Amino acid sequence: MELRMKSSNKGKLFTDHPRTRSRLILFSLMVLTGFSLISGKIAFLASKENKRNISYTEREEIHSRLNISDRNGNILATNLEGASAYIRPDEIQKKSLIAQRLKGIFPDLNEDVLLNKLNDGRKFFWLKSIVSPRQEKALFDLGQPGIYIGKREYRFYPYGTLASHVIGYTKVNEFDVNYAEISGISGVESAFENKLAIKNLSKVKNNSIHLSLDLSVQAEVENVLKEWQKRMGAKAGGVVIMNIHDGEIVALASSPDFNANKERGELGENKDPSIYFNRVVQGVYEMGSTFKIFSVAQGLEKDLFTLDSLIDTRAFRINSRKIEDKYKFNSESSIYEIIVRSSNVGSARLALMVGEKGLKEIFSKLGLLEPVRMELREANTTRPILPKNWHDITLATVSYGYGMSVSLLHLAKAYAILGNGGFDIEPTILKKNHNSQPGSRVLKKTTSDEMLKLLEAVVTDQRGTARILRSKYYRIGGKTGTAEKISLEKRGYQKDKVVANFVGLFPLQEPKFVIAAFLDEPENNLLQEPCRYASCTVVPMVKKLIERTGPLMNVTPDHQALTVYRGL
Amino acid sequence: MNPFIKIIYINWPLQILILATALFGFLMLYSVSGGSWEPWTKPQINRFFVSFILIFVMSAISISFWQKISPFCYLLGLALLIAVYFYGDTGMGAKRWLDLRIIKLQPSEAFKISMVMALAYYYHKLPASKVSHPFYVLIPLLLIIIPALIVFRQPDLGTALVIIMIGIFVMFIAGVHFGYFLFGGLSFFTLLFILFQSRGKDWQLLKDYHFRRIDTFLDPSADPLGAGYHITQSKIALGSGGLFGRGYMQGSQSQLNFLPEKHTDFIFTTLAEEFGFFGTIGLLIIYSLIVAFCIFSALATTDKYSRLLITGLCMTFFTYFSINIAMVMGLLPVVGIPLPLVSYGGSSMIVIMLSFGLIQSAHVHKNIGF
Repeated sequence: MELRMKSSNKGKLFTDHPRTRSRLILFSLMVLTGFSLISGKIAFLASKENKRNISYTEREEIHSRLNISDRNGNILATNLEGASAYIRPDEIQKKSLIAQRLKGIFPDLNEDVLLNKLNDGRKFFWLKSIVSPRQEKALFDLGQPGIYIGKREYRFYPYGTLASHVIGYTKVNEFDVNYAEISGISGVESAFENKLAIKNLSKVKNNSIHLSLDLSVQAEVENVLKEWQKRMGAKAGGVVIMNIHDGEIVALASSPDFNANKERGELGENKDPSIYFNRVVQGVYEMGSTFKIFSVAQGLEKDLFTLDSLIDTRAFRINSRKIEDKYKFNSESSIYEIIVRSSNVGSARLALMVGEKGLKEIFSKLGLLEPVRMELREANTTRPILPKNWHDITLATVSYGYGMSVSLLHLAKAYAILGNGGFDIEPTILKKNHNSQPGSRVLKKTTSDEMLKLLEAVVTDQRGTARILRSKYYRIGGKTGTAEKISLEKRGYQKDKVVANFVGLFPLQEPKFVIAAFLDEPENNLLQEPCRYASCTVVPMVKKLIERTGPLMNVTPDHQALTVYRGL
Repeated sequence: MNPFIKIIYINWPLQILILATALFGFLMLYSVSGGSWEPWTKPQINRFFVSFILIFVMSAISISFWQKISPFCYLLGLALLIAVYFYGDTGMGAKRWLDLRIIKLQPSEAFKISMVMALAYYYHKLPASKVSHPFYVLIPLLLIIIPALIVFRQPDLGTALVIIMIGIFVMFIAGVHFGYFLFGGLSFFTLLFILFQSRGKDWQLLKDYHFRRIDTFLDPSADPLGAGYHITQSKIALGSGGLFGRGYMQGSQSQLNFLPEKHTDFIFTTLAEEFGFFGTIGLLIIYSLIVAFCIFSALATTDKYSRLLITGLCMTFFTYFSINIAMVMGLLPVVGIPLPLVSYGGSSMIVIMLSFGLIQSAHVHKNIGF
């Protein structure tokens, strides 16, 4: 203190600039501001709960993922331990030599790019995100400092393309030298992301999610589908087999498919993105005559007619548009005949009898106006395309499957309700407990019984569109549908491009399964003249499907089938 | 006055704060080397205590001596910069180091001190009335720009910018008219604009990696494994520390080698991870106190040279820690600037301790000017 007092009294030899003092204070304020800014930012960073970085050990557990298995416990997707390779160029001396040797281990590497990465001053880069055990050993044997191997898990699908659309695929979301976080992109992998990405594997008793799929049925279905798609020259196809009582999906195949082991979350070169498209669940199509039985069901439900009622089947006009049939019908036909021989005119008349309200009511009860509610995100986001208005002409065309598009899964669900005694169901991809609750009743039992009779007639009647399906072993019922595709170039429909489908129920002595199948642009050239109708494309395929999968699903042959067959 | 008695008058709080910071640094180095004295902690401790004693020695030497040798220091510094430009060792793509057999010196670091000394000397000799005269503004500007350009050509953009910043700051404290700074600021931003326009053209003014660093700074997640790796990892470390940290030697990011340069420029992240919010704020408070005591000292002194010297050196210290922390937190692009007294490294440690020696000398002789 004393020293300072003295100093101020001393004469100042060199005087300060008057601004110096105030500027010093300004500087202090600057420091203070900097201090508060930085503290604020640190507080912000520290307050952010950062779950990725809890610790190394916890992290390892986070990134384990449950298996996905079929209803019998066969593993469809699992995590395997693999290794990644990374490089710290600082620690490598003879860079060009190492680049050359690495090229020897990984022939797909570009040596120039590699050498450039080694030399451009970066401290770290990935060599390969996944290396095979043999490559890992080769890297290890190089004995070169600066090349590191990190353990990580990767997703493996033992059956390759099998059920690829149901299982979906994954990508590596986030990764570091010691871990890789895998997350689902589509299918079950995405729908059950929260359940699959498990935090503490040791606490989980059941390390699998059990699907309702049956591996062997699925494999047969895919084989048959691919074979027939090829035979019929179809662009694509799909099949779904579902239990009509509890909604369990036993098989779901969409072709073309993909190998999820090769998916890394991005499209490769030359890869067609449509292979990821689940045509059964996401594809909506005009379905054609498979829609005809819906107005019949509504009429029966409201007691407007019986199956024997006679309906005028002469061609007629609605607002100048002519409704006619390709085959000749009598001037009056029974509803039985309208369905068995698939009459558009009869169907249109029935729809007009049922009316807009009635048609909407039955569609709503069968779930055709909404996305199908089930676990897969693909299903929940697929909305049917409905007509903008419901004039008489719309009612007529919708009744035979034009002007409204739904997915094959929609159809399967609707037929399941018609066939299971009239109970609402929700399709599921998960294996259910045995004592699951049946859904609420939406249709009368009698309606369901009549529908089964009608559908069986389509197969058993000599004139039925699905008569090829007559089997010595099983009683099968179903309905065919063939819809011309809308032309993208000009107004109207294209005669030579159709979507052919079939929805069936079996075994009819005690209905248990619904099978829905379709082929996109099929053409059967094995007959005298090319045929595109469902009756000669999809129906033979379904026959094969049921013959092959029936025994796998414990469907016992029925001796009555023989008598029914002979009786006609 | 007896040199030993002079020691009583040094700025003791400042000296203790320096010691505290260094101890913090030893603790962190011990942690990042996995609980070992080697390879970083022991050399750092040796270096620190030698230079700590140096502070006492320097403070006993009269400030007028330092004042007299200022111009020569500046010339020597400039000579070293030129020498390193021609004969320097190349490390990490830049010529920054001069091998003097005994120590490897980074002249651009040491030059910061000699420049502050020279500028303080200049304004000491210059009558206050002439401070804002254009000609007398041009001279110190040249004293700053010429060495900055040499450093920039090494190439070391970060240090060049810091040199300019410190130099301008001394001019600011000396009382140069505000208009110059306004004009300078405007032309700086114009230059920045031109720099960005030059990208990818034939006349590109900065190296590609400078642009890359700026890109990374603007969006570190765009290239998380390349240039953005530092920032992403260090942000993770900062975030995972929470309020109290994960405990000494428990930081996973730093202990598991996720962090690059964890013992040098990025040591702050280890601190943040292991001691959390309170640890980092603690260090920041110590740093700010050091700056505060320097400013008190500058306000107390009667000598113009001393005042400018202290503020200039204090600013040097301030730029070190503020730029380092801001860079680690992703507020500034990554430039190679260490955390003073904590980061491992000889050059920066010696430079910082030398500047504290000068500050203490100025403090001891604050009332006399002898």
